Amino acid sequence: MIVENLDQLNLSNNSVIVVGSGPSAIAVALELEHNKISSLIIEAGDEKYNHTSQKSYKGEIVGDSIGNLTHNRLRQFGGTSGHWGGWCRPLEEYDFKNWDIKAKDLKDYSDKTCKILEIKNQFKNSKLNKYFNQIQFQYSKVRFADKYKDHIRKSNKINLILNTQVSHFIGANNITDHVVCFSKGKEYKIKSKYFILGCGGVENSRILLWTKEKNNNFINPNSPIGKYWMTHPWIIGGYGVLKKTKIKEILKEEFLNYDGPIHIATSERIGLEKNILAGHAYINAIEDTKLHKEIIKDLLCVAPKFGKKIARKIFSKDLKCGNIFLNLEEEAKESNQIQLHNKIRDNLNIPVTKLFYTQSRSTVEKAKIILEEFGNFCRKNNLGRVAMSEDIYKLLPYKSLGAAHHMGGTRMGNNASNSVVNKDLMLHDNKNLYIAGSSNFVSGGYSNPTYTIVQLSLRIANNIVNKIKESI
Amino acid sequence: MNKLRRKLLKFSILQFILIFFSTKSFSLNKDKKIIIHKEKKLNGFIWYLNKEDE
Repeated sequence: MIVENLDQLNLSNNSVIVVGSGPSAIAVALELEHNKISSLIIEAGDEKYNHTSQKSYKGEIVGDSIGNLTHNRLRQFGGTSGHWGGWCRPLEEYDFKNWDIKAKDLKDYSDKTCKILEIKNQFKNSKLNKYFNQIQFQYSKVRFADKYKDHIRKSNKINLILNTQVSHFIGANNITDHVVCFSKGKEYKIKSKYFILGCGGVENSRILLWTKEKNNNFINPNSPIGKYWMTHPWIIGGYGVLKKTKIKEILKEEFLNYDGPIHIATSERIGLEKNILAGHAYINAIEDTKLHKEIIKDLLCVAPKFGKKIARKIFSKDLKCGNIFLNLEEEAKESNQIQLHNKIRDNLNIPVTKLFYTQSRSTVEKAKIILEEFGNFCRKNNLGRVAMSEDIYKLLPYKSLGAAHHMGGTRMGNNASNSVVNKDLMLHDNKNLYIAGSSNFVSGGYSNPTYTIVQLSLRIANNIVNKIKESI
Repeated sequence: MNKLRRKLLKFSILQFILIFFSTKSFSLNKDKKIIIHKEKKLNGFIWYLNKEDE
């Protein structure tokens, strides 16, 4: 049900408290409900977008530009799923190299994840050569607020309170006792056996940092909360033309024939041989006749013989022609971190986010290697021709198209000095505070994070269900 | 007569050598077509091309 006022609610009924209402939080609540366990979802925003509420997400970015902290996430019911792109794909097995869990630990949650996201559980990889694979994404149209509003309204196991801002947690002796929140101008301390913080890749760190400030010795003072923050640098690496039939000739029946852009990802081997992190390229995201003509005009100038052959096919569906977008994995640097702002506070007097972020040279080096290798592969096999932006060629700082994927800050690990949560996503040295979402990621891979976020949330719910069953 | 025979022999050996090596090199070329890489800059972009594209 949707709760209008926290005073209406019996706050001692052992509900699991879930902070946030985005994909991670709703996935946990649904799985708990499936196991007949009740939960209370606390959402800071309103049911729909609210400009005043959204302003509470303001923050400062120190260092390199990666967009705006106020607008690249949503403070409303359903969280950032209200404007996400919908591209879904699990992380590759090799992405888990530095994680305390492996891909197989999440595999059991794949079917349920696909059901929540309303996608097929099919993410093929077709080997183009030793360095590149054609890959398949699934596209989810799910907006969590739209899909689950009625379900939650009718549910007698999931309670949702909107416009309620969580300030911090209170606890002692490794146990979290209460969450402190503000609703309708009133302060509430809600007690529970289990708490889940799932507010996204920025707010999770902010609330934990504030919890550390408000409690003495509740959280390890040396815990690296906010550190190892990452995004997926999203850049235009160049442009080019690709012939689908030529790719098909190489892949034969393994060719992935889908509409929209051609997706090419790096293999594990290129990572090992060239010492680079993962990357994913896609070409021809939108049909743009003007851009096609410009590219072919350029191609006729630099390579008239080849250009003439391509020009004849300009409007053919076989031709994939356009910008080459790169979605790249980013190095997890300790110095890229979220801190509490020392001057600016929000309307509840909680410090806003201060994000320290600098680009890594390894990102642009990797972009160059990927484009160089892919460009050479295309020309040698006559798949098409690729042009690399001169800025990348010269390894100059890149211009990011945005940074919507916020990862790290509460990274998973078995050592409390360089990680915040354990492999069960529970805060180190704590027995009942879980962190959900991409803030736990140790590495980002090249896949969009939501699929893995949902898998991790289902795993948390499963963990709580087992604990509750054991305690009965 | 001997001079003429010697000349003919020389000519046929030469012809054999020529035919043998030209076929050999042709077959090699057919197996390993050499593609020469060429980078060309235009409007702030570097194209990855083959020499024969020009």
